[in-house]
Amino acid sequence: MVRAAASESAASRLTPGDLQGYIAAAAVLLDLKIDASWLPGVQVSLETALTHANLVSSFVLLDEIEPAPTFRT
Amino acid sequence: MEWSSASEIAANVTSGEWQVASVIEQALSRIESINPGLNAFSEVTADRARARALSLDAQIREGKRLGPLAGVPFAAKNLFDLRGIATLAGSRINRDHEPASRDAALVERLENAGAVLVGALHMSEYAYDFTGDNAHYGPTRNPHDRSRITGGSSGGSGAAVAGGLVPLALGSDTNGSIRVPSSFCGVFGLKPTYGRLSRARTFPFVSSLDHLGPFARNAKDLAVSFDAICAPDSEDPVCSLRPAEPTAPQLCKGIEGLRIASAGGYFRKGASAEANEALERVARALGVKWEVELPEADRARSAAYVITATEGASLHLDRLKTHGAEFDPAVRDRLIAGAMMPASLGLQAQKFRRWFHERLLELFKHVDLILAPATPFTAPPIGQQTFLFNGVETPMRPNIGMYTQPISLIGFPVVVVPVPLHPLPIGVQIIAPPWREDLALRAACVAEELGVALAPRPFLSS
Repeated sequence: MVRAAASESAASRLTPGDLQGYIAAAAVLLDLKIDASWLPGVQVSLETALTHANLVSSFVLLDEIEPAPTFRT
Repeated sequence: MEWSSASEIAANVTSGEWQVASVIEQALSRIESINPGLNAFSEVTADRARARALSLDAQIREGKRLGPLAGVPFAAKNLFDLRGIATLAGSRINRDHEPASRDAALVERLENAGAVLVGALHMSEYAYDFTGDNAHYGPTRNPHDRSRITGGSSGGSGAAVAGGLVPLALGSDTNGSIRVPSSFCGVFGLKPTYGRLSRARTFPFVSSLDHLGPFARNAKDLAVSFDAICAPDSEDPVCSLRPAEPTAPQLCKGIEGLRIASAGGYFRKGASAEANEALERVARALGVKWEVELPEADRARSAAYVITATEGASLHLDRLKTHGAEFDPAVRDRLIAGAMMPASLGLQAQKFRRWFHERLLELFKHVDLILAPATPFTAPPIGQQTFLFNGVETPMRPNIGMYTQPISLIGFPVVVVPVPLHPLPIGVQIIAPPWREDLALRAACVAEELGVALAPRPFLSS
């Protein structure tokens, strides 16, 4: 089982320019217009979310574990 | 009458001692007087309440028996549909929505039990906040100290019950939004099992994590109101088909034979002296002598964060495109970030959710109830940005829910009991296995009978 340090962020492996470029490209893909004044807040929020995602993803799970949402007919 | 419990009101109305009209008039008068200082209500449905009160009094004169909440005034977080009112969900954007054509399922069920709706309650925008602040409508204020937050996102619900404006309120809890305001405002709150209560006709946030539930000032009111609203609902595809299992008849059964432990490890890190004191008082009262460790609780909290970010973003993506500038900036930026998360990360969080669910089901083979703090600290001042976490200055807002998020991730039921420390109360979570709200409520009742859990009465003037 690999456990990453809790404070390590996937986003920290990108340069600031790379992350800003990712945000700009994702905005285009999502057809989302982001005002320049929003960018610092979006960047911090994305870094935080990716830190949490990294903590989760660094935990090895068996292939057989189903995602939690269920479908009830 | 102003601090009467729901059960007392219902008993006095049923016996004919009190008329519903006078109960409601007193509630409306108190709301008019006190609410400006608390900012709990976003709308007071006075005409509707008075009309209903007259109708109920007429039914009583005709000899009809009303339900277990006869004449009880209640209010609902403004993500619940209320007939004739646009469902704001704490936003400015939703002001343009058509008024709801029908009440939310749980509002209908409370009214079927004889209760009387008196209004809608403020909340954090789209439920994406733990403070109870709102960029459009201002902060809801804590009745115990109006310079402090109520907690969120069901801030209005916590304040309305704690401030004696209503004895019952409805709220929602995705990551802690019933349990945090219960803790900060010093009231009892119930986040039931995921899928237990119908979410029909409420504005959503995170489908995987949204729960609805009641606030009250004692365990009996919590049980009676929960029983009144609990039943399958074919209009909610997530609502369980499991039949309702009444909790009130067995509320005073005690806790003999129940195996109760405190959560250690993660749930001890960063807890303030007050959080620890409250937990210890409840643990002593319930005869707790051992600790259990919830495995990977920090990852569970992070999984809840990721699921919230991604599902919340998906819900609001169209709104972000058309009304981006009208959001609370703090909500908007997190939603945009969530929309940009790689999909595989969201699914990984859902897989971890399954894993954590299975681990906790195993844990609950050896224990019946687990205690944990509800919040790391008592209610902070409005506007405070950081707190000391293990001696390190840490952002406050995202960490208020650190003890609540791992539990709502997997939908286990929780009762929060308030411990009346001075100068501010703080809550303790009583966590039960799925579908065993009855056990958590029984423990809450014992803690209350022993005087350890109590909703303290604030001094409030108009």
